[in-house]
Amino acid sequence: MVLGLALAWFSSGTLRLPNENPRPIAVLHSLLSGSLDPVMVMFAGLLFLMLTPFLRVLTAAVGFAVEKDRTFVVVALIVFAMLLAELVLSLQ
Amino acid sequence: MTAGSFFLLIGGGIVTGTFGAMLGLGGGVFLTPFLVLVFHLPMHQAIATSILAVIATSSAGAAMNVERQIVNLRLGMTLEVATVIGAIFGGLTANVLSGEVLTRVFSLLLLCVSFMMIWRTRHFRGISTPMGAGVFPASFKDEATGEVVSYSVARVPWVMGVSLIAGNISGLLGVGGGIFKVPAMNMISGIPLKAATATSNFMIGVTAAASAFIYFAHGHLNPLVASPAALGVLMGSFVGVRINRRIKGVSLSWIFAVVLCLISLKMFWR
Repeated sequence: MVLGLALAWFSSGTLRLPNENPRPIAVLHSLLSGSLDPVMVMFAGLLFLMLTPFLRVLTAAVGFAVEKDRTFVVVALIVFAMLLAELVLSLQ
Repeated sequence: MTAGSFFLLIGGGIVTGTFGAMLGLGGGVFLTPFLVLVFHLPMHQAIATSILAVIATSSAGAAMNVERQIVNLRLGMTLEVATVIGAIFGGLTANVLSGEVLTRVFSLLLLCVSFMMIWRTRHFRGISTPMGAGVFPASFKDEATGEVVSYSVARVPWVMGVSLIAGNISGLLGVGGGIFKVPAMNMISGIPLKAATATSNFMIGVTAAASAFIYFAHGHLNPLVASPAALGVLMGSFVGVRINRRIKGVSLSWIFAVVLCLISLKMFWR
């Protein structure tokens, strides 16, 4: 996000927002193609931020697995599955 | 976006994040009215931005609290099943409601929050549920006293019910929901306040993520607004936590309760 804001700040042209939010794949494609479009970089930062809680739940599941607490591995995976379902269904 | 708007967004984020952290509310309660009343942002965009800010502040604080072992991960994960369901339905509901209806509902929420702020100053329990009397036993070292606090959790289904409602409000209005969860964990389940706050802080980011992609998919996330505002709230929350350690005052809760009431009225008759 900081990089995106910095690029936006120093970009000479005007910033154009897409009519609708791009798909995460489009954001990834834009970044991999090497184009440092400030808006796409900001979207990438925002998407990364939105995905951090997913990682947190997965980390907790791994932690429970290390402690051999199967019940809570299942609970954590249920939460993760619900988050993932919401992500997939929202973006379809 | 002009440079003035950019700095105003960061500054507004810092101020709302500071106030939110000082009062243990998270930034959303102040950020959404700021974006709506000052920037005249559509309500859905303001809520989406607030959700991002909630994720940012939760992510920053949660790692620290998990490391200190204050977060009761088992309880948090159990309650998360309810809050995530609530948040998903909240997010879906918000996107079929008009901005005007959401603004009115948000102003009513602010009235509730201001009432809760005063109510909790008198009703928080200092006694926790002893080990063996409940489930999810845990202990942590209280840095203020140096003592190890051990406790367990009673009446989990009741707190799950509150968490479902809190998650729904979070998805619907973009607030963390800690204002409802922390008192419930403390008063219903007998969880020490520090553990309840840390567990709630861990949870709100996951809850917010449950509705974040719904707002994203509906095109309500404006990166030019969300990025500076979320960064500002994140910075402000660090400042607020530091101030909160030094200032403990019922009068502070009263002042902000009155401020929230005024903001609520302003939003209702906008």
